[in-house]
Amino acid sequence: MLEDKVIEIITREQKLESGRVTLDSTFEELGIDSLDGLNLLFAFEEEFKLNIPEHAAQQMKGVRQVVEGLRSLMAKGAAREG
Amino acid sequence: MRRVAITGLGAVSALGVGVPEFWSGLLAGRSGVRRITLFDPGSLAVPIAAEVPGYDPPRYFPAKKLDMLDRFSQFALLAAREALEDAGLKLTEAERERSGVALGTGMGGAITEDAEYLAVYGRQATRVHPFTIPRLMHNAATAQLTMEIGLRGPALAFSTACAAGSHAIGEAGEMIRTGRADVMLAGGSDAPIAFGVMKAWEAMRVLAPPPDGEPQRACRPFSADRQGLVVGEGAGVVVLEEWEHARRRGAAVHAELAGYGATADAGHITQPGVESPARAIRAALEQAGLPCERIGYVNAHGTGTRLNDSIETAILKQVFGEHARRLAVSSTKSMHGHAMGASGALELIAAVLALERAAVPPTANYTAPDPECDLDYVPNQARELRAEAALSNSFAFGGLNAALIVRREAA
Repeated sequence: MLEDKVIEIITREQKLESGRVTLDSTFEELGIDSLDGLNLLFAFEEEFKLNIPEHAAQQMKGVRQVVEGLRSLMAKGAAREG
Repeated sequence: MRRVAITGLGAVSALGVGVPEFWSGLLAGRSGVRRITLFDPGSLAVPIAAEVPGYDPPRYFPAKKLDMLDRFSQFALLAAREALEDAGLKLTEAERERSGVALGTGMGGAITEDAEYLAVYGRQATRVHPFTIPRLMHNAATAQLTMEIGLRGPALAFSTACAAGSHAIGEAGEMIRTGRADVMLAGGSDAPIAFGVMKAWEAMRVLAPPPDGEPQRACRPFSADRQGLVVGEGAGVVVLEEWEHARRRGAAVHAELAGYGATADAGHITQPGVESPARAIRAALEQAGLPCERIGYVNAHGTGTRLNDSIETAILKQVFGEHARRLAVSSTKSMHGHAMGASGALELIAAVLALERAAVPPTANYTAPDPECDLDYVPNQARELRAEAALSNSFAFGGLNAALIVRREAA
């Protein structure tokens, strides 16, 4: 599941205890600052083999937005390939 | 006139993490040079370096913090923690605004840079890690230190290659003398043992090859059979404190930072001169108010290259005249390697300890006298010596010279 993978990456990169990150967590609640945000974008790009354009990155302010954003980017990628 | 006390010492070197490991290694004449373990050095012509042994970063830093720290910043933080602990310094909020940082580095985050270049050029990666810049910038160690300790006074990074640590300490001392700060954490750090950096050193043909598979014998400063330098890594940090500030809080003073001289050769980018380094030493003597006969120990730049060691001998003879023959001169690079921007700081710490403990560390691996190097280099065996003052020389590529003089604290 994409949600689980995103939560796993955020937990790993932010060195958070497991269970802390949920689908409803916002970056602000998790103490994720702008530099941490860059690190997460990098980790998502590496994991899902895609590029997250700036306008999409700016929408990602919480876990649910990340999942939705990534899903939409993946769909566009799949459409291009198909 | 404000005077400068050295009240704390911290060292990370090929002899271990900590000043006790550093000093006991130096006194034993033990070299920390070994086959490189940070990467597979199989394709290097000279696969040896003076690495910090058994260094395990998670022992010292939480994982989140470590993400942001290149190895050169880690070493600086470790040395600074030890120096602060040694100084027993507890700063008030007001004092923090009068306390700063001055750290030298030659190569900055070289290992980070090397790894990310490998990613984009070697593996054709389309992106590099977003922390690459904050990790590799030359002021990263300085900034991390201000944040960890909460120091809000002047904070600067010095990049004068092999003299960076000495310039940082010298300039930090001037900041205290001139009233811009009361406390400075000063020194240098470098972690240049990366594949690309080692290839670059190899190309300069100044690296000492390991003789007969014995890396620890590679660096032989002032010896007739010397063949070059060995790249090292580490950090040295000292706590510099305005004299009365230290006295008021009853701090134990290791030594006085009594003199500093800085000059440029304005000559050649790699070949050292004689006149300008000599002027730096004379300037340091003048600031210290010491006739040259009062210097008992010289911690030499002593890289172990053919050229440096004979020229440094000529420099010492020019400044000290007849007294040059009575100086105890040693190169501790024979043991901790050439730790680049950390060298001057580590060597100043060695000079301070030599005064304090009345013992001079040797020049290790000395085998035979060279007619061009005809002073007393304290070969192979540490020596008891009660010196009043000591000189530490650093002569950087680029012809940028620094001389520091420390004086024993009169009880």
